[in-house]
Amino acid sequence: VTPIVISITVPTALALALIYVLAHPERAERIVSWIFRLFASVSRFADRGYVANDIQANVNDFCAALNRTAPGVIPHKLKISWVQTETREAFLRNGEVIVRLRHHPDQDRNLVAATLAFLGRGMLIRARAYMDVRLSRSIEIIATRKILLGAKRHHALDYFHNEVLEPETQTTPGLREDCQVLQLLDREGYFSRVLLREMAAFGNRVYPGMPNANNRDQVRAFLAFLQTIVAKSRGEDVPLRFVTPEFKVGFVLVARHERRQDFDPAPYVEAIRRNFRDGAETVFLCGEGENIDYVKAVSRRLLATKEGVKEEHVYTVQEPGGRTHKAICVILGAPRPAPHVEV
Amino acid sequence: VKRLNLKAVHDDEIQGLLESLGLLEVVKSGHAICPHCGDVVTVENLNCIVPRGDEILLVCSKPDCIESAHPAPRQQ
Repeated sequence: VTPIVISITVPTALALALIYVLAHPERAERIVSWIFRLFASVSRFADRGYVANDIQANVNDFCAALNRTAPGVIPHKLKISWVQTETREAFLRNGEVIVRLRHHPDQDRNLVAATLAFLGRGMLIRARAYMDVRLSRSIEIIATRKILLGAKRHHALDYFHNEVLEPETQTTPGLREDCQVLQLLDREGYFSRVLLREMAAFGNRVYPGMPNANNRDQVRAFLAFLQTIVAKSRGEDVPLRFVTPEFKVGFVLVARHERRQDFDPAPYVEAIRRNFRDGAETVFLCGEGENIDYVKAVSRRLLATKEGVKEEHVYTVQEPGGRTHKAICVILGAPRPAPHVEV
Repeated sequence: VKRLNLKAVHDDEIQGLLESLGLLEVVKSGHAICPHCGDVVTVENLNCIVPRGDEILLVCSKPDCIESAHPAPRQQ
């Protein structure tokens, strides 16, 4: 019986492992990095294998998660390729920077250096030229923090805070404040699914125009618009639509306290339609806590009439005191116009 | 999904790479200067090697210098 069991289970396990690896390549990089890590102290080959695969696994894991909430923000995955020798002529002809990565005991430092180098060029590729350098850097900083936190690399995070962030905030006025605003957006779930998503859309709208001061001002104004929404108190009226040539965004927040009796989705559906009529191309339908069910009711009504529900994200908001609560964000795209029929 | 290529040199091969680029003697003699902060670049504090026109820049490991050194990696 035993050989029969082995002959069935081993190929099945291998087949399942192969399917898993093909479905989650970034997880495969992590498993490979663990294997290399075992031998990294005794083998140069394993040391290099661990250093590269560990960085790729952490960065690409983040990219995969980010692309689920904000498609197109980081369109490429990271690949580290080792160089041992290169002629001067070939190096100048290729035009690519070579980064130094250290032995595996310095992996925290390697992870921070490679992550910053990758995000600096791989995130928001089109939009980057149209926003100011400080905001661009602040976005990289928050994304790097998310990668290090997601990877549970607390020593790397400490290194990043002490050796990169603190010196930079001291030499760059306003950087700390920008990071704080982005951190607030991130805490409320708006950093990736609203800001980065809309920045990518903005990049596609303005590219390949010549970058100018108006572009940078528009990005700043959009950031201020989002900040006002996340910082508003319950029941406070704030602008919920930001429609310009560069940004076409609306928000519908569900629901005000006094409206919850005998909940009727119709006013929210009408508010969403009004946003689209007034030029919004994306509408974010948001709510939190006990309002999640009402958001879902509005979403269901829109789905029933096939009115542009693209994605529904339920996520956890971490409050400053450590408490958490659930929130929801339904992302709606502008309904397609009816096809023009020649008479 | 396409991949962005980030070229890297391992600690063990840094001297070999510098030699192949014809820069090892410059670094060892203390004549390599970081173009961003003006500090002397050594084998220990060298962080990245940057092609710029007909020149090769050696950048030290200060975060500000690293940040200003990276042009776009190539897509595979």
